[in-house]
Amino acid sequence: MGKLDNKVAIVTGATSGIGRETAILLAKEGACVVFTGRNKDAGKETADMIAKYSDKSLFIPHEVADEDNWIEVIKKTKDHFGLIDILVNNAGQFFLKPVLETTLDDFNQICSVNIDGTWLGMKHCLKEMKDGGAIVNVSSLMGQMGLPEASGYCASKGAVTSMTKAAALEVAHRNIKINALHPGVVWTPMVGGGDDGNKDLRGFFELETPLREVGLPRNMADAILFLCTTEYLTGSDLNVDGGRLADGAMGSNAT
Amino acid sequence: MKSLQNKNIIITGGGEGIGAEASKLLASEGANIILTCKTKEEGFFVEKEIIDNGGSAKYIEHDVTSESDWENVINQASSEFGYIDSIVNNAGSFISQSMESASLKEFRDVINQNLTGSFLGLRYGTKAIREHGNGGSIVMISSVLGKVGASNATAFCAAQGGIRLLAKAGACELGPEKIRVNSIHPGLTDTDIGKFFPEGIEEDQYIKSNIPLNRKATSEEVAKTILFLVSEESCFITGAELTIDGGMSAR
Repeated sequence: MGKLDNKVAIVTGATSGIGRETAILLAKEGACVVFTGRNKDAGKETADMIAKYSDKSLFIPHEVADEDNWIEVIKKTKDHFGLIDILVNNAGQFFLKPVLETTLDDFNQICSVNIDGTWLGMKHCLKEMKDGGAIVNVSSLMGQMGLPEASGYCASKGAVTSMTKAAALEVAHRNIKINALHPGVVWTPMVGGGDDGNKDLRGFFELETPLREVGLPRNMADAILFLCTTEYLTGSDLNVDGGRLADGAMGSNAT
Repeated sequence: MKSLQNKNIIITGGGEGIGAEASKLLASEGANIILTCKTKEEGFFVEKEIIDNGGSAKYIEHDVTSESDWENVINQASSEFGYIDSIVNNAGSFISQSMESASLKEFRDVINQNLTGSFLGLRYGTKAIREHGNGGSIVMISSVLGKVGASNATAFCAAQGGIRLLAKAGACELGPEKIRVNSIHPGLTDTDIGKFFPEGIEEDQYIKSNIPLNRKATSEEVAKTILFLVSEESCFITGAELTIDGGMSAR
């Protein structure tokens, strides 16, 4: 028996990294999983991985900044599996560029994916979500603190952190829980990691983290599952960062 | 296999409320529980309940403000189970008192029971966990009043805020040894410590106007959060604060 038997879940950005790992874990726990992403080939790969554990999943190509696209994802989910229990707003974008070199287009682009994408997901999902459901917004450690050359990313994730609380307060009367997950460095291609990642870079990140490790997608998926099943946590923040936020001086140990 | 099989876990304040629920829940997941508290009857009662249900538990009398008591707890736990994996620093006391009416002694008592007790738990717990060098998890039970203020709670807020940062400092210091330290911040729970309301305010009214989820937490719900923080599923989480308050502090 799984922790999520008969639950219906949507996971965005599930064509790689945290989203893929989360979609697989939720499926393993018995949920019907709709997983979305832009890259169809990678979506097929995730589908093959899920198929090992579950025959109740559906991939939908998805651009999270597009409202019509969201409406379509929700409709298909409902047609296929019924009302929604869980939404994991994971899709996101990251880039490093100094403020002076960041164009307004760059800034608007990252905000549209990270902010609009998350907000649209909550808005359209809440209409078709069962009372007692759960939403997990994947924000970031950088939604709580600064990082040089990441003004767009920090701004967009700060917005996700705040709107998580606002939305949580709005739907608490329906017993719907909305929380934010704050990953630290997760060793995925987004930060130059993954299987082919640079070893020196990994060593640098490890030394900057009190636990002397980088995070893995599985660590985030485990925390997301916890947030999907908790009954009294809402409007909260969960950091899964190996102690980086606590060590506010950012790598004061790395001496 | 149960998720905490062969784990040896010390839980302070295990005789009632959150501590008792956590002792039972973690025992049901296979852990050997060393539960401590000052009141023998309560401690032995929970110990018996766990053993009757097929679990493993040992009660030890314990005043968390006493260093010699801590030494005794660690020695007894080590000789009984061999090694320690986790400590849940849950014992604490609450007093509602205006700043003017509280004496310095009363202030210090609250700091001692909550903050100093947690510091000793961190210190002696770390010593015990270090013995085997495989790391472990230390969970500090603070309060939502360790994150936001409230009237008539200066000493309690100071102590709980102290616990919050004690956990973070501990996380930084102990991270390289794979000893994780996190804090939990419950709001109103169905425990004795939660049975406090400002004068003239009814519980139902207070809940309705202050808690978005419109109810208190059960001790079991907080215990599940403790389970998460001592389990492998949280192996990359340290220095984090988990607020379980029904949305109370989100606004």
